[in-house]
Amino acid sequence: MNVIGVDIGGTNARAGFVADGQLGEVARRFHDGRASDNVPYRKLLDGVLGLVGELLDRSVCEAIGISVAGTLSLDRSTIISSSRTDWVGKALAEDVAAATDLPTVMENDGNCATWAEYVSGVGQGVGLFALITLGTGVGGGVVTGGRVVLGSDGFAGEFGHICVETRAGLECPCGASGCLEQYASGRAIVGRYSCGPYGKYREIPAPRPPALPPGKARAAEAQLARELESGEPWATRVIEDAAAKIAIGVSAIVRVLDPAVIGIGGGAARLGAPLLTAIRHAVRHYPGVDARRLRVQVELAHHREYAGIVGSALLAAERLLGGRPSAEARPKEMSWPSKT
Amino acid sequence: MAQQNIVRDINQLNALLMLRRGHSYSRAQISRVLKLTRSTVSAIAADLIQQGLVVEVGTTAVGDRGGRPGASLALNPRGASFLGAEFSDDHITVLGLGLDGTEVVRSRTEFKPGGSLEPIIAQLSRMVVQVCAENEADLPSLQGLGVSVPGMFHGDGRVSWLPGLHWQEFDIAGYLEDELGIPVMIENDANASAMAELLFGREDIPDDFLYLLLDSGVGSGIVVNRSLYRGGDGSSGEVGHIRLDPAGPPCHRCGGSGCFEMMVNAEALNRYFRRAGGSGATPEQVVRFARQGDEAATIALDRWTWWLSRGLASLIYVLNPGQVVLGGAFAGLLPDLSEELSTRLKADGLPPTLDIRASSFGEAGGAVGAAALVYQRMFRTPSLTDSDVLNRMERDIPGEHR
Repeated sequence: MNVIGVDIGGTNARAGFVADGQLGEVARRFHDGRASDNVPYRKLLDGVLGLVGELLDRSVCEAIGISVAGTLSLDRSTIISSSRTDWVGKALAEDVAAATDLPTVMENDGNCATWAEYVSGVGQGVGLFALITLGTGVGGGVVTGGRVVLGSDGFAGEFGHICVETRAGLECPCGASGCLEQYASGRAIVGRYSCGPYGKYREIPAPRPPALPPGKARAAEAQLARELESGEPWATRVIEDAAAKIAIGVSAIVRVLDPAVIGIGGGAARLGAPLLTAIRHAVRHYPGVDARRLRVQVELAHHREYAGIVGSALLAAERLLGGRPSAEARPKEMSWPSKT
Repeated sequence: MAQQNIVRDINQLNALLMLRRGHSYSRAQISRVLKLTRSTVSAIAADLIQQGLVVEVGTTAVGDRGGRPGASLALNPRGASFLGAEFSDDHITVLGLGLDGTEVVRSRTEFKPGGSLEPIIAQLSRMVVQVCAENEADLPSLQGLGVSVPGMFHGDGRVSWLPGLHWQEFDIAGYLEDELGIPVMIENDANASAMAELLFGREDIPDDFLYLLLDSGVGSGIVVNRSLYRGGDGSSGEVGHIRLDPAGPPCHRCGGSGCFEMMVNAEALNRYFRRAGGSGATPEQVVRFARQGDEAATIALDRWTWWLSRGLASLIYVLNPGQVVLGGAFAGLLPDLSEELSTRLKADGLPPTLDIRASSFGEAGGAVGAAALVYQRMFRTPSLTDSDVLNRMERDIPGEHR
């Protein structure tokens, strides 16, 4: 069974095959959309159809899954919020299905990545699992009892809005201040790193670092990764501070969901072992007595850049072809250790 | 006294469920909602009346379409009874509920804090014995005791954390069952309070919600699909020690500083009030002063709601409950405040779609909830929820039916 997964991210759109319900050959094709914020919907749709068309030239497929960086309506039919204002209110999956004559579903990118980990990553067999994604923003998802949890309004797993800073917290577009997303997204981490240990960026709370253009951001990230490996103090400091914020998020997730495993995914997970070590250390040393948080296993996600493609394809297979809903509003009761 | 299996089949159960909130329905209404024949319903009614669980209340059901007017059925409040208890390091409350959920007896004892767990449970046991002895007539067919505990448990019922009290590995339920000879259920206080809301609170309580217990501590109970969500090892909901302000006051319970409960408990409101220029006052007084326009009190309340919004923000984005219910010692204040509080919390950045309400219960919510757990066990396999009943009633029987 061949399914196409499409990943519409913060700055680009990509697609690939996922074969036979398992992570088989992922055919890669990149289509760099514009990094600016106001890509018209028509252009998005044409871009997605172009990607899908190229793949369909190579092989048949039975369904399409689309991972979208944004909030969807509870029935998953409509985009209800996105940084691309022209996409709001659009039923992308329906439009793609109409053009391709293939059953198509949409899902939030955090939920897709979480599902990918659950089916074929660090969440395999974990009855209560959460993934935190650190990318352009901070998102994630929750799986209980074999289902992605959507929540009452569809924002379960939106870990980016957990409050992690209450002293002069950075304003967040959601209306609050001090949200995790402002401190631990890839953009925030690389941005602060690129400011260097000077002036007000040296200490937490730091002001918002300026946004970097994509080329400079990639270069800064590469440099950050290198300096982490060699233990450079500023690089290490930036990651430790971000890890401390992420640990607050982990603590909130543990106290509400009480999962056995929490995965760390998204683009920033490319930083690898130094990031994981820093997060585990921060979780372990979170102030106050709380044995529960010490039990949770924090792991790096297996799926990195292709989490959206893999996750959306697997969800489409599950929902459209498996006949089984893979997401629902309510979490299921599970105790751990347990295997689903 | 031995526990009898007093409800014999699913149809009986569903009929009782329809009547659960103290409503009365005619046999015709019951037959329509449960989709049973009139004769089946008559047989069920006769059985339940004979068992003493249901009584005829003799008034014609209003809004019944056509047919002969018949007597309505209602739960017999004296058909069964349930005990609930709650305790902390400075008090014990024991209460009794009838089959219709109304309170029939309550007893409370206060003592100096600083004790340890075992003597408190021993005293709780003695209070239960006394309440039963003095109120035998009001506690017929006692089904069991629920105990609301300000702490957390492992999956097997052993205490895993009980702040404020010295405790060892102590089997509260086992001790009480041995002493009292009735079934005993224990539950975390926030979870128990959440169950009180679900079973005996507002009629429109949804099937999924987050209950936040605001007291000297802070805890949460998560209800999903009308059951408590417990998490992987039964310890979901211990949210009081999420750290919100690293520069905040130290917490003697968790050893950290600036945790959620230190920023929103009664002492916190008082602290904000003093810092704004006020003097010692109870939370009730601060709220009253704020309503009267006192500047320091207003500042204090603003600060308090801001910290509450930060703590709630950490909770709601995990499982996204449809409704948040605020209760605990502040519950006495909250009905006054709830709309205002909801507005303030959203102005502080909580999602506009979040439904925030006040608890239906004051301080003894935990004890009511603990009794509710025993009560719920009687209805242990409900196939009908309140909303099912209400929906079918509205569809099939127009007009007044409450």
